[in-house]
Amino acid sequence: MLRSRARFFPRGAVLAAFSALFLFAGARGVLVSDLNAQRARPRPSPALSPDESVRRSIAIVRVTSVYYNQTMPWLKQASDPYSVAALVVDGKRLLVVADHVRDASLLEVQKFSSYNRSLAEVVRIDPLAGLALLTVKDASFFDDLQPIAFAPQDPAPGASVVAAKIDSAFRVYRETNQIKEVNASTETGVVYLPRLVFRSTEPFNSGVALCGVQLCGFVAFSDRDRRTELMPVSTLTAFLTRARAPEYAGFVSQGFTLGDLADPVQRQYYGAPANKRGALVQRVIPGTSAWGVLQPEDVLFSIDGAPIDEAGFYDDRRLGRQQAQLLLSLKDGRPRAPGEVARLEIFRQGRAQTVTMPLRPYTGRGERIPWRLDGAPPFLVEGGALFLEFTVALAQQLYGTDWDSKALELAQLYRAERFYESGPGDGRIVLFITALPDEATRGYEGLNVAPVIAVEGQRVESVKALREKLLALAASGKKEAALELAGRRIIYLDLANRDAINRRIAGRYSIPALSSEETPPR
Amino acid sequence: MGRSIFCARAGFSLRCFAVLLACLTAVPVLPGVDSLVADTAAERDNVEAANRAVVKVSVTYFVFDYASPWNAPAVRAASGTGFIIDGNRIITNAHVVSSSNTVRVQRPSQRRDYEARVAHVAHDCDLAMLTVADPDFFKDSRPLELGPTPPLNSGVEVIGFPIGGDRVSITRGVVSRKGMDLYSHSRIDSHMILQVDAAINPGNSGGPALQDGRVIGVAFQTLTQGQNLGYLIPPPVIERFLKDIGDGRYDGYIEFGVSDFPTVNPALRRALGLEGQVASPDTGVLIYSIMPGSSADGVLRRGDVLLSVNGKAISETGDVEFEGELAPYVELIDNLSPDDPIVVEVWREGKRERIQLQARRTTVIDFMRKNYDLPPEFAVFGGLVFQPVDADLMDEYGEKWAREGRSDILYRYSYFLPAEVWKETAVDVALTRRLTDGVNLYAERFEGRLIASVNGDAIKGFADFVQKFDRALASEEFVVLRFTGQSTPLVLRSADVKSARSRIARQYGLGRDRFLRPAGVSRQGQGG
Repeated sequence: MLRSRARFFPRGAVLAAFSALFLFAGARGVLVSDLNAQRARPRPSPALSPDESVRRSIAIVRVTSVYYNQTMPWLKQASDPYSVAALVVDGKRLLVVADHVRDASLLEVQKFSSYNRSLAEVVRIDPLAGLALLTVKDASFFDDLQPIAFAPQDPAPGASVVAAKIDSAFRVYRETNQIKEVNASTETGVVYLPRLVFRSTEPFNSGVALCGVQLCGFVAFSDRDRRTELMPVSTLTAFLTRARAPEYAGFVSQGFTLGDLADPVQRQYYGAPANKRGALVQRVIPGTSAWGVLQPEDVLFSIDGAPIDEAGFYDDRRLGRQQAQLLLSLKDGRPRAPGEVARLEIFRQGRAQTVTMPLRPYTGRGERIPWRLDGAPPFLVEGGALFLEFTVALAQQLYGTDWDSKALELAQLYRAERFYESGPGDGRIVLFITALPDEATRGYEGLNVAPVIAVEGQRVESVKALREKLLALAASGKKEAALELAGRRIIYLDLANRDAINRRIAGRYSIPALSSEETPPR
Repeated sequence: MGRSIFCARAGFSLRCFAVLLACLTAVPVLPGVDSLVADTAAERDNVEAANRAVVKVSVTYFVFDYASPWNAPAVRAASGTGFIIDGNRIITNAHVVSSSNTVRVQRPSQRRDYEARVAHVAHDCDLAMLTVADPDFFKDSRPLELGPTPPLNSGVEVIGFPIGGDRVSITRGVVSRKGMDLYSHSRIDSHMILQVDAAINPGNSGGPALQDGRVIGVAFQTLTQGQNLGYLIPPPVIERFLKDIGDGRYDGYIEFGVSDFPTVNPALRRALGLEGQVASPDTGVLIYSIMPGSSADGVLRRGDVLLSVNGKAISETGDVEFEGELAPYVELIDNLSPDDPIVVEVWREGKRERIQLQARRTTVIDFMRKNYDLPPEFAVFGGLVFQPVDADLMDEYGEKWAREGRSDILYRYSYFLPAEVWKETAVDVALTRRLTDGVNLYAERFEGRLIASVNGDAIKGFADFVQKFDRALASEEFVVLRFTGQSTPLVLRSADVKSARSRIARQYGLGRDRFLRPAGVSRQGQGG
C-alpha cells in the first residue's frame, strides 16, 4: 500500500511524457467497425471519418503547474508546461484526468482547427474519482467540436478496444488492444472504482479507448512498461451526470479491507458456519460508508446477496473475479449513487446478522497523515524553528520515495497514526523540521525532523493550533515555550524576544511571511 | 557515521550497524628478535618484553546459525595475540576467544603449543583472561606490567601475529587521538579508546601496545575505511577488567543511564532558570530520559540539569576536564564498579542539589549486545519458529527486513529506549520461519511478524512468550497469537500443535525444538 501510490507522486514520469511533442502517438490502425455502434451514433450527419471524429472530440490542454516546495512552503516552483488530452463532452465542457490539473495555475486549450489558444478553468474536480471538468472562457471554442458518443456499457475483460491518441498537430494514432484485466482500483483505500488495463505498443499517457466508434474508456495513466489503465465509460458517465447536478454528489466510498479466511482452524475459532464462505474484515476507515457498519474481525459473507469467498472476492457475471468492494461501487455495471443502501450479511462475535450500509461519499476526514494536501502546505517559522504537517509528500521530499525505510520514526507514525482510530477527525501531526541557524537556535543544530508531541504539556494537532498556542503563551507574558518532541526530548522557544528573532529570521532567510496563516506584506 | 571498523581476529569478521571492527591475530617471535632494529634502550626493552611475554592464541570456535537455530554450530579456526601478566595470566581480546571450542597458546620461543582455558571473558570491553594449566608454558616468561595512559603523539609499538603469520610482528606509531568510542565486539558499548597510526591488522587482536616496556594498550580494532587507524584498549579499561574479575567473576560495566541535551540555547537556559544562576559555560546538560535499571533510575529525573559529576563541572555541551583534557562526562564514571558511589549536582526546580547515587548495571539493553558462547534462543511450535529480535537476529534478517520495508521491526529495535518499547516487553519476539507442515498451512502471511499476545495475554519477553505458549497448549483448545499492527490473529488448535511436534522434529531434523538462555546470564561477559 505504501508504495503503490508512489507512481502518482511526484509526477515526474507523467510530466516528462507530456512535454514530448507527440501527444497521442500513432500509427494507423484498423478501426473495428461495429454495426450496432454505428447505428447508435447520435449525430450521424455529417458523416465523419473515424479519425475525424476523434480529432473533433479531443482538445489539448496545456497545463502550467505551480508546486509548493514541501519543505519550504513559502517557495513555489513552476513546472514546465505539459500537454494532456481533454475529452469534449456535452454542455461545452472538457473532461480531464484530475491529477493532470490538480496543481494547475494556468490552463490553455487548443483544438484541431486552429492554433489559437483559449483559457480554461476547472469547474469540478474529484481526485478520488480521478476526473475533472473544465470550462473554456471563449464559448465559441466548441463550435466545430463534437462530443463522441459514449458506449452504453463498459468493455468486459478480453474485449478489443481501439486506443487512440493525438499528437500536437492533431494527427490521430490508434492501435487495437485487448482489455487484459478489469480491477477494482483505489488510490487511498476509500473509493474503489473499476479500471480497465491493456498493454500498448506505443506509450499511451493520455487518450481514449473506442469500442467500435463509441467511447468506452479514458486513459488514466500509463506506466513505463506501457501498462495503461483506463477509466471505463461508466465512471465517466456518472461523473458527468453528477457534475451537472446543482450539488455534486460524488462517488460512494467503501473504506474497508478484507483479509483471507481460508484457514479452517481460524474459521472454527470465529465460529463461522461451515456452509458459508466469507472473508475477514481488517481495517475500517473513518468517514467512509463502512465506518460504523463493519468492524475489524467481522466475517463478511455477502453483499446484496452476492456471496464473498474466503479471500474477499466475488464472481461478477461480466467482469469475472473481483474484489468485494466493487459490489459497493458498481451495480448492474453502473457506479452506485450516494444514498443507495447495501445489505451485508456478516458474522460478528458468534452471531450471523444482516446489516445495512447506506452508501455515502468520503468525508475526507479519515486520514490524519494524508498523501498530500491541496494548496499551500501549512507552515510556521517561530523562533527560527520550522514546523510543518506530516504528509507523505513531505516525507518523500525529505527522504526520497523510499522514505519509509530511511525514516523509521516517520514510517512508524504513518503505520500507527495514518487513520483516525475513533472516528473522522481533522487533526494532523506537527513536525519540527529543522532549526534555521541563528543565535536563537544555537544548540538545536542536531535536531532534525521530530514529531511535536506537546506544547507546554498540551497536544497540538495542526500548525495553526501550534501558532495560536504560541501566540497565546506570548500574550500571557510567558517568556519561553516548552516543546516536547518525540523521544521525550524537550526544547524551548524564545517568546520574550520573538518579534526581534522572527524579524531577523524573516530577513536573513527571505521568508515573506513566517506562517501560512499570515499574508506576506505588500 | 558511515565508518567501518573491523575486529582483528584473523578469519573472523563482524558485521556491525555503523561500525565494522576487525579483529587482530599474530604469531610467535623466533629467537632472532634481536635482529630487529632497536635504536634506544627503551625500544630494546620493548623487543625484549615482546619476546618474553607475547603469546599467539589459536582457537577453534563455534559459529551459530541464527536462520536455523536448532542446527549444530559450524566450527572455524582463527588466531590472535595475547600477553602474559602477573600471576601467570594471559590477556587477550574477548573476540579472539568468544564462542571458543578449543584455545591453544604458544610463545615465540616455544616449539609446541599449550592448551589454555578462558577464565574470564568481558564482551562489553572486548577483553578476556586465559589460564594455562601446564607450568612449562610460563618458563622463562616475563610478565608485562601496565603503564599509564600515554600522552598524545607519544610513540607506541604494537606487537602481534598479524595476517596469520607465525613470526612476531612489531609495528610502530604514535598515539594520534583519545576519546570515547564504540567497542564493536558487543555492538553497543563505548569506552575510552586510543587511536594509533601503527599498522594493526587481523591477527594483532589482543596483542600489547608498548611504551617503555610497559603495556599502554591492547590492539583490538581498526577502521576499514581510513588508513592506519588502529585502536587500542587503554590502561584504565584493562585495569577495570582486572579489578572486576578480582572477586573471581566478571560482572561488567555499569550504566549511568541518562539521555541528555546540551544547554547551549539561550531560551532553554533561561527557561530552566540557569541564566544568571549557573556560570556559563558550565551550565551542564538537560536530562530528558532515564534508562530503566541504570544508576540514574529512580534518583535523577527528567528535567534535571546535570551540573557536575564527582566534583567535575559539566560544560554546556557535556564535557568535563579530565587529566588536563576535555572528555565527555560519562568517561569519568565509566570505569566504576557496581555499588560505587557517584556524586552529582543537579539543577532541580531552580536550586542546586547534591545527590549521591550508586553505580548500577542494567540488563534492559543486553539483547542489543551480540550473543557469544551460548546457542541462539528459539522455540518451535507447530513448525513455526519463534526467535527474540536481538542483535544476532538483526544480523541475520536486518537487511532483508529493510529491503522488505519492515520498518516496524527496525523501529521497535532502534527506538527501544526512546519509544519506551521496554515498558511492553524485554525483547520483541518474531515468527521468523515456517517449517511447512499440515498444522501451519495458513500461517504464511504471519512470517516476519512480531508477537503481541498469546491468548489475550501480552507477552513480556522471549521466555515469557514460551511460557505463555506452553500454558495455552496445555490448557486451551486454541492458541491465539496476535501480532503487532495486525488485526487478524493466527489461530492454532492446541491438539494439532502437540501432535505435530515429533513429526516436524523428524521431518526437519530438529535435535531440539527450543533453547532458552539460562536466567541471569548476561551478554556483558562471564567467567569465574
